[in-house]
Amino acid sequence: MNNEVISRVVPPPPRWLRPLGWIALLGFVAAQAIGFLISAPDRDMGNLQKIMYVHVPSAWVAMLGFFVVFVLSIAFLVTRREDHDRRAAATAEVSVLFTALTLVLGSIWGRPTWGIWWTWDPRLTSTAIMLLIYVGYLALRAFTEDEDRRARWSAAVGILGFLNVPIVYFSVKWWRTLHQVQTIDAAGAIDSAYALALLLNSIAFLLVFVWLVALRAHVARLERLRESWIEDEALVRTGSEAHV
Amino acid sequence: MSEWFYIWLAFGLTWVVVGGYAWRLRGRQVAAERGLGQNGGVR
Repeated sequence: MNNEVISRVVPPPPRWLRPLGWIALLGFVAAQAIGFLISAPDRDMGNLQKIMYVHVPSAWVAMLGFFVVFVLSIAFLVTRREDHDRRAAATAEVSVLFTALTLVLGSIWGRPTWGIWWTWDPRLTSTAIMLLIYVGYLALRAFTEDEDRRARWSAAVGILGFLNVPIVYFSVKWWRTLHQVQTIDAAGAIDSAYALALLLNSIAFLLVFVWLVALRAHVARLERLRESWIEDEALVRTGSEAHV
Repeated sequence: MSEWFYIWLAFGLTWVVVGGYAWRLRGRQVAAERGLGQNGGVR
């Protein structure tokens, strides 16, 4: 085997990735236990209110993630640095996961409280559109072979797609909706006992989210590197065969 | 159905989805590192 090939080094994950994973896991277990076991039932909704501790943080981290994709997409177009594109893609994938989870959790909450699994309410519809936009972003990446074109087109979708995110957020204020207004916005809408459990779960979801994005970006880097090494070796092999 | 059915469903689904995705990513990380090792990389 060629000496140049042997000397290449497999990049290790960031040093903070493993500790962050453990902190995120422990924080998640603790916050979920507080929400599930300790938090008192709501006067109107009873124990069903506990679903808020998974539905709301999931929605928040998903929207935050799409904002990060927006920023990284602009950063990529300005600097053309490949790591911005890779991190934007990793963030988009994890945000899509949490958006889908948000919709399903909302549906599970809606059935016993509204009596229906789904309705074409502005909040629900705009969230479903947000999901479709970013599924499109991931599909675009999956089906575009040329790396430079993939990164540029993805950045464009990452910027334009973000236009829908404020619509999702403000939909409950702009239109008359079945969905309640923002939990933290409505004065007196949430008691401090619920606010604490919600805050802890939001922090835990955020830690898990950051860990997943960092791990996804690291995996993308490894897989990209592997592709380039295989391409290099094929070139070396083709070259040596040509010499023979 | 009892309210606890929906609560269990919501919390359980969250763990399955997030845990399943994390598990899959770890698997891809190990596979990619192994693949790089086979393609001439050293740790």
